[in-house]
Amino acid sequence: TANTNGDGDEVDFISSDRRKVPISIITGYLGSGKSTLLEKIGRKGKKKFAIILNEFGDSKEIEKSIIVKDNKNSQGEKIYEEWLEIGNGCLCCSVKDNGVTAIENLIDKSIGKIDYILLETSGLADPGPIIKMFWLDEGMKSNVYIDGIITVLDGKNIIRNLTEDKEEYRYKEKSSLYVDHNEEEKEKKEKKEKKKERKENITIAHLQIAMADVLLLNKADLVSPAQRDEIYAHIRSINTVAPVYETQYAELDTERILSLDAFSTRITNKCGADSEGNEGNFHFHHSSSIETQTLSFGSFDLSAGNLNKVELFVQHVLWENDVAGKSVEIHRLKGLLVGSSEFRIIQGVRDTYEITDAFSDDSNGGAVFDRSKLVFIGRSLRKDALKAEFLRF
Amino acid sequence: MSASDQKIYCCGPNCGKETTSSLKCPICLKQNLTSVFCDQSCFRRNWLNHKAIHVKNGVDSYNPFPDYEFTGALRPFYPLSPRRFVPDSIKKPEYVTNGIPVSEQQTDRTSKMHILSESEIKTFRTVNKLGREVLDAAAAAIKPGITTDEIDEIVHNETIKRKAYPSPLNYYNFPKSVCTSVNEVICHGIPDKRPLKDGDIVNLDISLYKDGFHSDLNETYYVGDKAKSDPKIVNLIESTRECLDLAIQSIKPGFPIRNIGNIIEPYAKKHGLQVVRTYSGHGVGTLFHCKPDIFHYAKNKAAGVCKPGMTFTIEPMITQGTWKDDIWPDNWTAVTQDGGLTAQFEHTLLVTQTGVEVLTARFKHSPGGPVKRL
Repeated sequence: TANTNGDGDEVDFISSDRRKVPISIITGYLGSGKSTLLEKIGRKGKKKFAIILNEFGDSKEIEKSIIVKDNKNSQGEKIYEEWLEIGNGCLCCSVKDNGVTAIENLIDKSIGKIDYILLETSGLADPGPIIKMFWLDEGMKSNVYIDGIITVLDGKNIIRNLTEDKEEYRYKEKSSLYVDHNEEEKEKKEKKEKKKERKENITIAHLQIAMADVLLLNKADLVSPAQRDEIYAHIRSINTVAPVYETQYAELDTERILSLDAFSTRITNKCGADSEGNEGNFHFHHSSSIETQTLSFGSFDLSAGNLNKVELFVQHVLWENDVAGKSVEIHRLKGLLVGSSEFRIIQGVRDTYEITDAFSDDSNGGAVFDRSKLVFIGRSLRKDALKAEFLRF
Repeated sequence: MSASDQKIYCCGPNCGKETTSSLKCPICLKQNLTSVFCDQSCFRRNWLNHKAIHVKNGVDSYNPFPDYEFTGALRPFYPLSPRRFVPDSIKKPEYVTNGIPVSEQQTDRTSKMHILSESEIKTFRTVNKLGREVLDAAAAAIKPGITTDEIDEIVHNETIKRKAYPSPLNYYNFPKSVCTSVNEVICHGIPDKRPLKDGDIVNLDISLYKDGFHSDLNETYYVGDKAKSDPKIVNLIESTRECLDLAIQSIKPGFPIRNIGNIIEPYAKKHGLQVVRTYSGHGVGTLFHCKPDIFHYAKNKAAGVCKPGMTFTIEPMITQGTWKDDIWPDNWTAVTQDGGLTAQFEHTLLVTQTGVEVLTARFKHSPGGPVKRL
């Protein structure tokens, strides 16, 4: 029998080499400066980086080989360390997508040689599926974990990107989790979807901003003050939570974008705990575009019963795509539940969410968290409707 | 029907196209087998899969992976028998020619869970009953001395008798019609020339495709009497059976899918056992494997709740030792990393308005069944 502790959990012997390696996902349109950013981090960074350039945006693409760049070459040249063949195993029952398994194998083979992984997505990738792929269940006991999503924006072109109407940039995926084969249900749904499509104006750029834990406004030198205001208005109307850093040639202190702990159980200022949500101020678009709405309430007794109610509310919004009878589409959810002396963090990406015990430590500089918050980033959100739905539970 | 009317198909598992070629595998000819390939490149591409059926000179059976560090005592016994024939009259799934289930791959990208209509449910129910019949027929043959390949032959024939196609056959190029998983094999064992021994445990995983629907079920059986008198083995198999039954009891509309693992894992741990993570239950219907993914371990992030009309499997794989898995060089046989024994049970379920219907339920006289703990 395996070595098990009192809880029946398997006890692996721990060595320092078995620490989990963080992965940061870098997304942004072609030409935004993603590659420049990666090269700069690889060159200047003090950690041993594995840089993965890949088309992870399409699940078919996962079968392609990926290149692992090792920046540590004696001549300072970039060398391709290894071609990783991602095997075409049985996709049916395998839980971990082949992309993740290939990376875990890489780490296993390079124990001690890799401190941090940077994964670049394709420019037109919807980051959602990629994030979910690397946001592994604790039970998978993986040797990697997702640290955060970095979105690089092309200052010169971002406004055009957001208002672009070309087919290839539009995001059209329907959000419902279920497909009903019963004829009348099918018709009802199709009518609903048709209504939504008419108002459709979300591009991949919207998604990349919505999903970001940190945003880089690159080519900032090419942006006039007036444009700058407009850009911020756009960004803040979509995502009020992620900090924005202006850069030229993707030059910045890597501490701002790495080791974010965006998916951890440690409460940081970046989890939206300090954001009130700027409802109203930057209401640029129709409600058919992506925006941030925040529900804010006081601390409460985090009893099992209350937590269950919050969870049922979250499940209803995320899985039934319904708020007070109206259809919604959630892209990201960040929340903090404050009890008398304990906390819970809620993290959500599209239909996948998790509520975990959380703790606050000195890294927040003495900030006090006393208000519970649920921050929704998505489409067709209205604060009053959210509030009404919340009170139902 | 004259010989010239017979259609000839390329026997490459990656190909399967109709061909007029006369290119035949020379080694097969020496064994009195006829294996036709489209052309040289087709022959080369399919070589690894194909050569598994070649007899080695002078021996009844051999281990095709002599350099592999096996995790337990079990070894493969090659050659595999040639691919079994399915009559033209039986409707085949899309992957029968080259192994790739295109519809599954396309559907998976949208991650949606399907809710079956009334008429679909009727057909689906029947296909699953047939699946149970085939499993029972195969299980009845289990005894020390029978090889897993002979069990495969029974499964194949019983399936065809019912005018159905054996779903595993050529699914992603799986070479046989049933998965036979012995002892430390977690799942996807390939039937070969190894005779079952008194004291073995074996899982038979059956899937049928008929009238456009797949069924899916499996059970672990004791071979002979030795295994039944070992308390540790009985604990493993019976706990696994109970894990599945316990999970099924909670299924009803509104039940979150992620909670299935929260029922199974604590129960397994209570009995000193672990839960395999890499393989999961799955939606099943017009597709062999589709959404939702059913994870058997606790605290998973699966999305969605059960809704009436949803159909899926629960199939916990439980281990005595570590839950970590390894895979044989055949790229199918999954084994425990420490060679510890593992058991599995699977049912296909339909969520009803008030609860759940076990579509692959045992009949009164189904072989096997619960054994009292020692």
